[in-house]
Amino acid sequence: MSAQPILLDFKVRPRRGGVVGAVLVLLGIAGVVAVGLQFREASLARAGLELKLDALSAARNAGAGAARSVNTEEAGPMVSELGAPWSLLLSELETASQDLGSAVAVLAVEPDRTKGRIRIVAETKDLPTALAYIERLQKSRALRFPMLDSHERRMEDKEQPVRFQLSAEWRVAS
Amino acid sequence: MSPLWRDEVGLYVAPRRIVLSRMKRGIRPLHVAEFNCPVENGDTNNWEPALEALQACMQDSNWHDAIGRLIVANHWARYAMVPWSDALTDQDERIQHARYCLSKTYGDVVTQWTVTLNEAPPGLPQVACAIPTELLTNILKITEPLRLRVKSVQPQLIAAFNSWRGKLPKGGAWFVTLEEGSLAAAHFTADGWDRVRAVRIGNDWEVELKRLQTFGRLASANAAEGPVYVDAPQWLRQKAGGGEGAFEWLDNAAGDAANTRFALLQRLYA
Repeated sequence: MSAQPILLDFKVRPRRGGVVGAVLVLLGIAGVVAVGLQFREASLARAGLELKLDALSAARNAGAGAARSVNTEEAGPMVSELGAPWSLLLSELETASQDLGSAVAVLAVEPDRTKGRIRIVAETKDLPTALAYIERLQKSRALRFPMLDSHERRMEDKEQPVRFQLSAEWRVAS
Repeated sequence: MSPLWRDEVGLYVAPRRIVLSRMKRGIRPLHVAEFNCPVENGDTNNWEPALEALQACMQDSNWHDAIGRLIVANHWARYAMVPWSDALTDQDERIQHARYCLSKTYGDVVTQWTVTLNEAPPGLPQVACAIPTELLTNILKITEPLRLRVKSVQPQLIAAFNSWRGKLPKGGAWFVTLEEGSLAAAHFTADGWDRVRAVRIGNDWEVELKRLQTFGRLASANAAEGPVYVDAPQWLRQKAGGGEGAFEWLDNAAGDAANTRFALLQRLYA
């Protein structure tokens, strides 16, 4: 039981909300300021984190790049050698020797990675057998243009074999 | 005195009476001074005697240096209900509309009066009130040099209604305030006022009371009108002898023993 007040006054201008409204406005302003400050703080924190993240990414990229280059330098030859068709080459060399009655013994095989060539050192009983071996290798799928580089008869050996050295272009099987 | 809790002085200005009351503000507000000053040769049509009496009363420093709340007697106030209009867009236009409504009832004299409206939700009629601009200006000329800053000016009907509203029903009733020489009444509903009347009455109180009792009986018998609640000085209640059930006297616990408006001023602070 209470009638509504009649808000009529010649001095007081029409109120838009009174004390409660003013308090709500102040609370709203305070809320906006608080949210603004929080947003600014969060923005600063985010900016700081982004800077840290950028720094970390840069450091990680630099480290990874360095590691990658070092690894590449170190692993390059290994990879090249692993990727080389050794099985085919060795198989061809052995087959060629067998075709000549196993008269040729391969002593060393040295690849030259940069030039894509291979140097083979072998021994046989005489020079014609060595030349036959080179001729046989000309049919090989693994080698191209095998040529005799040098030969010598090893007089100190009891059977006096001929040691010869040949080089060829190492063909990568396709 | 703390500037945040300035004392308040209530001023009731009527043709035949000036009533002053000072409230000391603070955690426990306290009435520290009251004064009732009869106006000699007081006249409804001439406010000069009342202003002279006010000027004399205000020489007392009890009424200086405070915030003022002024109540202008119904004798010098005019009321009207103003229907809501969607065509009006701002407060100035609504005031002009209210002035037009008042002038239809009271004539061109309203052009020299200050008009205001109550705050009401859109779509509902508003209460318009006018008081003479010259009267208001002259009262403020008396109070301002005394550092009595009047921050509220209300007509008696509004101030009395608001001060009694705790004892009034939510709606569907009449509120009547009586003063020597004037009667003002408002019919209110849950949405606010819908009718307002203000009339001058004669000095023959027997006739006036019988008229009021008749009005009360008619209103009470009509469900749309509702009961009649009457605010009046104590001496008038005694003369009426209880109203014979036609209406209900609004009576505060402290009473208003003399023919003053101390209780009204005190209720302003409540």
